[in-house]
Amino acid sequence: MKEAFAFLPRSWSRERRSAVTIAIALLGAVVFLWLLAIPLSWMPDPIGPAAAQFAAGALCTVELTVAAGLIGIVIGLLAAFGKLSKVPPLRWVSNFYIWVIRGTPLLVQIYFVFFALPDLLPVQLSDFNSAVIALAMNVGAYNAEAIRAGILAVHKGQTEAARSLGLSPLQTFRDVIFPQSFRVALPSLVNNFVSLLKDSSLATLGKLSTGPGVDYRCRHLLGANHADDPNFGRA
Amino acid sequence: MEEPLNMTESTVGNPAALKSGAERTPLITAENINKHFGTAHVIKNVSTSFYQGEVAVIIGASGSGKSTFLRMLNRLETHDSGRIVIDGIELNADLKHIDAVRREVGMVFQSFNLFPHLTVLDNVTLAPRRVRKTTRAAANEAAQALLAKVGLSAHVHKYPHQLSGGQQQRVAIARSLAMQPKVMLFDEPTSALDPEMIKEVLDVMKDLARSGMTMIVVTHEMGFAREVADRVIFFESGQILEEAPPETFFGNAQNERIRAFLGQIAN
Repeated sequence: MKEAFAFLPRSWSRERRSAVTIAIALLGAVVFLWLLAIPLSWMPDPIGPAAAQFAAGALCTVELTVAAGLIGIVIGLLAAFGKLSKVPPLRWVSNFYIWVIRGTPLLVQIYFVFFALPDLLPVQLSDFNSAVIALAMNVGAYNAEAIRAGILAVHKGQTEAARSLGLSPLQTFRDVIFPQSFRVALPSLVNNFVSLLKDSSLATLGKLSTGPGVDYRCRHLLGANHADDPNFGRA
Repeated sequence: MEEPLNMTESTVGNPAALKSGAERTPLITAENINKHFGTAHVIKNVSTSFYQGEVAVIIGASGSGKSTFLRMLNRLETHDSGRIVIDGIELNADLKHIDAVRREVGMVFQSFNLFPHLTVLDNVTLAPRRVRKTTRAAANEAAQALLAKVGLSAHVHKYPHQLSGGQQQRVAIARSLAMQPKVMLFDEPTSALDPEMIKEVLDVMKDLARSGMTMIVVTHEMGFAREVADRVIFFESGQILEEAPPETFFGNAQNERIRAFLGQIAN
């Protein structure tokens, strides 16, 4: 990607060239995923013949990861602010959530969402949505601590200076604290995202026993028991 | 937009003005202020007033409570009891009051506290653009003028880490002045600087004083106090031991403790 960055017009600002490079990289990744079946089909048995399935599986993984990742960031932000809040009940709820999620295996959480939630909630979730929820809740707890670390890493004097200048708490966070805390939190957040990519494979172990669900995405991959799935084996 | 740093001669900021202090209403009053940090009683029943255009210098040993008292004036510290009124606004838990006070009171810190991810220019223009909703162009123009006044025109697009300590502190002063405050608080502004840089910062502060700004300065720089202060306030163990004009204070201090303190300072 450095090459792309270097070949863009010099007259553009650094920020613009950086943004365009990221956009090109994302576009390249999407195109690669879309056409993944082609290079896969050149590979030897057993991958070659089932290339389409493997490509679909990769796509499913990416979908789960991106969806759970984005929601996980939002959950992480909420839990981090909750834990840093001056309001005790908010702190208790956030602390409890982070403690429970980080203290139990992801597999158990996935089983809970797939097999226990349908009985607890009035709404039936599809396989895909259940997986996303379980994964997002999990990564959200880890993200919360990474984000909290970033916020706490910013020197208290920054807040004091900003508030002394008359900036509101929201303005202080947006213009002064967030940019600095982002740099500290980013490595941990990327770590969590990379783990999420691998952990998404556990979603194959959850399968709703009843109902087709509204969402048919990844249905041929989610669900350990393929014997009763008439669509197993078909692309 | 009026010039923030007015360099013309001013009658305020000289000892003669102090004599009529009794007739003027104070800009800031602090009445019976107390503060505890846990069990430690750090501010003990402190009462004083500050007048428009006055330069008050607060000195004292470390831990005497002078910085804590200064920080109470813009609610960076809260007072446990007593009353602080700044320009008619009472400083209490009410956020509207706190924000109103902070718009009128600027603060310069010992550790500068510049925003490291912003250029010098952005540091100075951030607050006017966000708080006063000034346009970027107007804010930039005003900031350039301020930075020229403190002698930093050449460094406008640099980042704080590229500047020396003295330059950073001058940017911090310009940043506070950009909000056109009525009062400027200085919390040991030169304590983190080496001797070569102290002079450049003190020169900026002297110019500011001469232009009529109301300043309250916590410092160990006795030379500055002698030269520029209208009043010297001596803090000891959370109390004001003496308040006097510099000639009286440095020439003929009544209190034994103060004479001992002054005796320990080289020149």
